[in-house]
Amino acid sequence: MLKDPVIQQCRLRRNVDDADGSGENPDGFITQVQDKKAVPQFSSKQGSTSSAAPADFGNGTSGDQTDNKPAEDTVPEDITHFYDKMDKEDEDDDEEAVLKTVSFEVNQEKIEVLQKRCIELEHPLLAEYDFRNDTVNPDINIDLKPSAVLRPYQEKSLRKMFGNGRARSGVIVLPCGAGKSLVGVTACCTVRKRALVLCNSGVSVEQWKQQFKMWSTADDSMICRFTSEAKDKPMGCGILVTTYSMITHTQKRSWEAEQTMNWLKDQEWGIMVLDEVHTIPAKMFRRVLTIVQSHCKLGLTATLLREDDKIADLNFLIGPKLYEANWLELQKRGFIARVQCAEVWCPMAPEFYREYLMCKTSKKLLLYVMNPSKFRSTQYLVRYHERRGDKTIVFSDNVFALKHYAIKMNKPYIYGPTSQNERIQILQNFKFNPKVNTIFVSKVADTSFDLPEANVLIQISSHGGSRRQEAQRLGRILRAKKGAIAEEYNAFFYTLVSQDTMEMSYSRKRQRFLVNQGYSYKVITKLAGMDEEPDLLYKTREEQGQLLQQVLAASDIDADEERVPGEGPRIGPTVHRRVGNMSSLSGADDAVYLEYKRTSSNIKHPLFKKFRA
Amino acid sequence: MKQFLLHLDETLALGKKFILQDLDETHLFILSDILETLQSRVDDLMDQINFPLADRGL
Repeated sequence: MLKDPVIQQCRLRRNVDDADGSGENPDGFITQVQDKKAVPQFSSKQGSTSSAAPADFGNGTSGDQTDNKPAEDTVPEDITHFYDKMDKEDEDDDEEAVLKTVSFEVNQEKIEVLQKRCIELEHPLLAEYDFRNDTVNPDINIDLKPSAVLRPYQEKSLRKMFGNGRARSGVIVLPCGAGKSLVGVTACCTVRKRALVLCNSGVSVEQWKQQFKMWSTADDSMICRFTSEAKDKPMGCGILVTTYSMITHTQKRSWEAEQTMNWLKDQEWGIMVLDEVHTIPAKMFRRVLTIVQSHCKLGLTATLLREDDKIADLNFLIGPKLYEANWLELQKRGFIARVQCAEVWCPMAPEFYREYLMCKTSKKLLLYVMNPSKFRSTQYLVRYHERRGDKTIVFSDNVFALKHYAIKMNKPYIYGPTSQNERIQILQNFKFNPKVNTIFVSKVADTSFDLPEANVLIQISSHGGSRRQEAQRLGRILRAKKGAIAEEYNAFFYTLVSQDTMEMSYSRKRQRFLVNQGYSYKVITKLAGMDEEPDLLYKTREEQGQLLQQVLAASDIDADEERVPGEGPRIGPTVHRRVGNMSSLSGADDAVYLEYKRTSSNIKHPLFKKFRA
Repeated sequence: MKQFLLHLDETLALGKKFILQDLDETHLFILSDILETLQSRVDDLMDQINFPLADRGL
């Protein structure tokens, strides 16, 4: 092996690179040490003394570096750097018997490129973390509670991750409601190093904290939340729960947050759990992976799907897919709810369809969402399920429609601008108050809103043909329900579609993922009993006409879907023209000015004290 | 669907007016010679709003 020309060449090139590197250093081309050769070891696996590097890659080599000098070298060009490693990996393949390993310390910024390159060369790298032998980072004292029982598929997914006694980086795909959080918590408890949990929203931060407290022995002092609302003291805690946007925030932060960030960057994290990992490929989130240094990354998601091609990025951003569960199989075994999926066709009201044919695209959306017969169907379904005692969530991506529907039906609604407190209040009510059986939500609730009680979902408008959204939404009602076996179906998923419009095509597109998972959709062209239902709104032509007027009066902005931070920039013009007047420009539209008289503080200078009789 | 035909009629999409009489909510009385083109137009519309399920892209 020593005489292998490729290796020889490698070594030579390495030396050349070495020279180049040092030669170019003064130019400021490369300033950091990129790759450090450790001592080759004679062991079947990667050396257990592997340095506590940001990432360790075990590469088999033919032992050409028998001298135990750790050769420090800087490599200016990435590609040559990779070739070196690739060649070594090749050796690894045909030379299994001589298992010597070399560990590198790889520059943090280069990991992504490196992994990408490796996949191209069909030698995917597995990032593993030998957490048992890591003595550099202190253990944190958490364990699973004895009450936490893993379901077989959860165990299986974790076995895949900790297969050889090390933590492997990768993605675990489980349907929503199948207990992803428990998998995350268990992984953290297994590694027992400092853990960083990243999720999408402030609400799910709270939920993760709850989950940790529920399944593990961690208490409040060990779990630190880091969101814009809640900042706990980070020092000395074992688990940090935060959001992606918090980490990637580039503008100025408060001093407190700045401190936490610095601390966060300095830490060596044992494990990083990325909730809803399919959102990661968005450029902004990508930065997380370069900011935070973590030995092992565990991605959790229900839907490894994106409509753009960035999903493949996850392979080198995090790691390969470790485990994926089939939805129907879990359903059969009662771990998740049995769902009846239905597509309800609502005929377009003639006036609406007429306008639909004539107007431009952005308005079209509004027209088919606001279709009165859709409204009536929604109202009917909501009432029908309220009578059954079900808990219903109504989804609408379109905020204009959301507000209109909710206000007309007198139900609470949550959308982007709804404050955190109000959200929690509404959700609490929905959970425990038998009078609140229906809530309206926009797409902020697509992911990580834990609503275990809900078992009916009505979708009135959606984000184009996004399969991910469809699956995520279905996931909201998948949590296994009580008495799961008793009935044939115990959860219902309705999609309302306006007939003969673009919506039908979107709806088809969206269903692909679930159909591939084995779900079937029932098409309902007419809701039986809807005509008998008294006092449904928009029954008469006049009422419908009024609604149409409202819709046409709504501006283009209203027709837009709500934006959720982290979904990347929207294509197209961001400036809108809308009719207004001077007072609305100055923000005095419907402002009522209040004067507050501040009660003067009690502490007054003695000189100004009033003398009382 | 009737609205679609009315729309075609109004915008002269087929080159001429073809509706002779508006009968009721769901019926129109049209020229017989336009029927074929009309059917293909409706098919087009249906194709537009349908998405092949079998065609599973990534």
